[in-house]
Amino acid sequence: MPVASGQDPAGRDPRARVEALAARLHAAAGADAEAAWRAGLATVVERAGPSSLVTTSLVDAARACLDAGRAEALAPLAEHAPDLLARAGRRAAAAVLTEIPRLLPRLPAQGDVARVLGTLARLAERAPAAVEPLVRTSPLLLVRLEADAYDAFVETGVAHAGGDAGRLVAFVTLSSREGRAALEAEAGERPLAERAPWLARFVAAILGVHPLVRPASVEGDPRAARRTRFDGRLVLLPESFRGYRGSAAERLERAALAHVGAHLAFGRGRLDPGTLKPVQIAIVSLMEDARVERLAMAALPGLARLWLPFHDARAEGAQTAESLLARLSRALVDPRCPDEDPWVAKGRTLFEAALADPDPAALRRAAGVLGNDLGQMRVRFDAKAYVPQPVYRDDNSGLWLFEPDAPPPVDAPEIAAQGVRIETTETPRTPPDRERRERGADAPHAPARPRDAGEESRLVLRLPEWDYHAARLRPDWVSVLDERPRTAPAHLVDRWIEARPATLSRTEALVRQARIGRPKRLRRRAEGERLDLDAAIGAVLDQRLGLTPDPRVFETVRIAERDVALVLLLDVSESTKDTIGGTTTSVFSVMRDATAVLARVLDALDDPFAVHAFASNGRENVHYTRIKDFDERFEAPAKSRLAGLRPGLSTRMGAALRMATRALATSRAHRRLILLVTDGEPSDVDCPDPRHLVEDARKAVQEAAALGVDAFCVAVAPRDEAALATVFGRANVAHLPRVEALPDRLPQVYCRLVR
Amino acid sequence: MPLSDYRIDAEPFYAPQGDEIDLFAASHALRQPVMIKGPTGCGKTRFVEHMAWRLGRPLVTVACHEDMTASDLVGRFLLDADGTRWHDGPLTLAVRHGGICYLDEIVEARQDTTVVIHPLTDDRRVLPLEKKNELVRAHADFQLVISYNPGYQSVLKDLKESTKQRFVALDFGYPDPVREARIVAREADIELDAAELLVRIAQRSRNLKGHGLDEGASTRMLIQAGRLMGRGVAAAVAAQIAITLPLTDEPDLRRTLAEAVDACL
Repeated sequence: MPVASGQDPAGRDPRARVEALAARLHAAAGADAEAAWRAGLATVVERAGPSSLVTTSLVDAARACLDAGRAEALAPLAEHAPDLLARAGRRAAAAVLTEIPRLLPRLPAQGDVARVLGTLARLAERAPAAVEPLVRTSPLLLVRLEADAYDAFVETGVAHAGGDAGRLVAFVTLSSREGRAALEAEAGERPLAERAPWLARFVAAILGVHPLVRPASVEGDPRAARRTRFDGRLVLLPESFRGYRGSAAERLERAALAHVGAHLAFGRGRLDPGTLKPVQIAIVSLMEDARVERLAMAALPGLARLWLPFHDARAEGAQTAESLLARLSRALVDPRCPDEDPWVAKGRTLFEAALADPDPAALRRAAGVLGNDLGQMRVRFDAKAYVPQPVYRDDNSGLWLFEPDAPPPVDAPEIAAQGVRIETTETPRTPPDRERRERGADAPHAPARPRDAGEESRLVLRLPEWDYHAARLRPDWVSVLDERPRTAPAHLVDRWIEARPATLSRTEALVRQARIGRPKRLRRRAEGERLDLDAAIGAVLDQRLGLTPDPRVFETVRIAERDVALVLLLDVSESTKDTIGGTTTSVFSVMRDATAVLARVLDALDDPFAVHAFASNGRENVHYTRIKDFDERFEAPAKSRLAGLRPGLSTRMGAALRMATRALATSRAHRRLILLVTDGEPSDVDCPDPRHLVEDARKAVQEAAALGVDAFCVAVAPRDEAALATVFGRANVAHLPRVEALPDRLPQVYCRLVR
Repeated sequence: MPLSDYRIDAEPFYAPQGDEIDLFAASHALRQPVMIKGPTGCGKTRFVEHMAWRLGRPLVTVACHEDMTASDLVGRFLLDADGTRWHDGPLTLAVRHGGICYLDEIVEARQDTTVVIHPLTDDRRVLPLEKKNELVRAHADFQLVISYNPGYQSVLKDLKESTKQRFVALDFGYPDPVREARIVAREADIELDAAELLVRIAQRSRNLKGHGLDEGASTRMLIQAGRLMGRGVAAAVAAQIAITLPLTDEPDLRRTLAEAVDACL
């Protein structure tokens, strides 16, 4: 390797080498590029020494780029090399410079090299330890990711790790689950788990069979993950196929699923390998593949357009077993493909004859003959290395009763484990309207029903979070612990309420007044309980005049019912422990008293409402406490939960708003409200960027609005009014400079909203 | 003759799927109320039209909807220059003058509306007009036929037990592929092989029933697509605008359907 040696192979003076390079660069990219390159090189030489590994790496990288005709890469190399050196150290900088020339084929566009170097340099600033691991994984990453997506992947990693270097390294080396998920996400593809139901539906639509599609685990047998595998209805699909991305990958997945579907629809049960040799097993499998595909294509001619483009075996080249088998695969399904090879031609003839033969064993006999021929041609078949061609075909293990060298059959525990996961985590979803619920188990976004949450059970939910920086919703980003809280004696709540008799009576009067729906007379109706006298007189008048009267002479009375469901959402973060100037009363206790009063009044009036509280400790720890749910009364159990509520931790507002939205999603009320009581803007321990959670909360409010849920905010002596206005919209925030006013103002805000 | 407008002169095309014509004729001879069940666009209405023509009866059709009141069926007083005037509703018309009254998608109507048919559907065969203080005895030729689609009705929209049990029922489905292709070819006036292609596409979409789709493509949809093909629209485009796009708004499902259609071409 030229880099490691640090010596010029030709033995010339290093200075002369640099000059020669500069001259070539000047010729290829002009004087500016040359100047930038010289400046960068000079800085590196100054910092690391003229014969250091970094310097020689830079020179070698530059030469490799020039050799590859990529003169535009030199300026960014020279620009970023000193930064990388200063921030990440010599070793990492040398690794980057060594790797870049090898990545050139993966970075075809003009600015790609500069973009990737920029990503690395920015990473070096924030997490120097991750630079080298990242650059070592980069060949793998850039197979799937374009330069921009690569940057987004790294940004996701940094956001994810939140300063934990070990976590970031695991992320960029794809050894953590999150890293792999992010790679899938950034590759522009939805996670396979999300695509799988649609692939299954595609097969269900075209062939009327209903496979269960699951991702094949990447760990385990590497051979298994290169091809689809099926076992009865269960289909294991690789998360990705090497060398396919974007729409090509989608086409490949469809082709693979359609192929398995053809087996399921036209297969004749598992075959017994008996005394067949490995090569004969391969040929029987290949013929069975061709047989089911031919039947499927006869019924659905469009499948030919899906499958045949993957058959790229040509009638040329060396006669290896792999190439001959691939050519036979093609010849059997693509009648227009000419192949003069005698073995392939014989295979074709035998296959056609076997197809016409109703005896299922005919294929086997044909394969026996072909396998023996291969043996006589002295073509070696390596059963261990053999992978069925083309890439969309399955690994054949589903065809046989058992395969001698097959990896163990699909392990049931993995599937079972998945089942458990589905049961205990809910993925975010649109509201479960009635139709969806009726659609059955694999309906889109079918809500995984959480088990009935007992008093002490904790339910973990994964919610997305909006990353304004990357302008994307990061799925499953936040873990919410949906928990039943501590309790304290319920009579405390009654005592707090009774300590505020004036507030209680004012609130009662206010809410009752707002509640009384005035009956409304609807006049001039075609139907109704009684005559609308004015209209009737008018009609008679018209009659007397010989005109055609207006037939709408009735009136009816409709009582306009208030139809509101409310979630009162309490921010009980650490800051609510603050006492109000000059007293021993805390913001939290005022908030709690106000809640108690409003809850008692609303409960007495039968208005549907829930009281939830939230606090967070990083994105993995959002506590969401249901003090009172819609379907319970504000009685001893709910009161004791309110009494037991304690303040603490931070304010991850977006997650809480999403939870409240979900609580309201099933409500049938006409008006659905979230009323958030907070003392400040969103914040959390793992979010140094104050804008991030503000933007996320804003997004959560927008998502709620899209589902017909309106979110409002009562801000109690907030530090940052502008942030809350950004989240909720200026008109939807009520500012309370005096905390003590909350018990009186909260009902007023409620009444104003429900009017 | 008040119902002359409701007579059907030309034979409506109908390809029987089984012995439903004989069964209906037998029920008609007994003037039994008949309920026709089946998915949308499978030929329920066409069958009733065909039977009305075959039996030589006028056919009064009412498309039911959830705002429909009992007066919409039995009639109401209207105002005119000389005072009030009673106007028979479609049901009363058929009852008075003898015809087949066909209530299409009966479950869409509110349950309190549908009870007005109760006295007509047992051995009383009378229709009380409460507002007019009149008891209309059904004409000897009157028969009540209702249709509904059991597929997409929720629990909320179902017939009352007391309504259900007054009817004999005929269950319809989509015709078998060979027959369906012939129907599509005839109704859309296209070649049989083009119709067969459309039927294959329809079967793909029916495979998705319960897996995202509430209903697969109906025979009626296929005829629409076929007519477009008859006007020179390419099969893929006709399938898209007459089948895929109307069936669903969900992008993933739409794509899956489009891919399935593509596999048939």
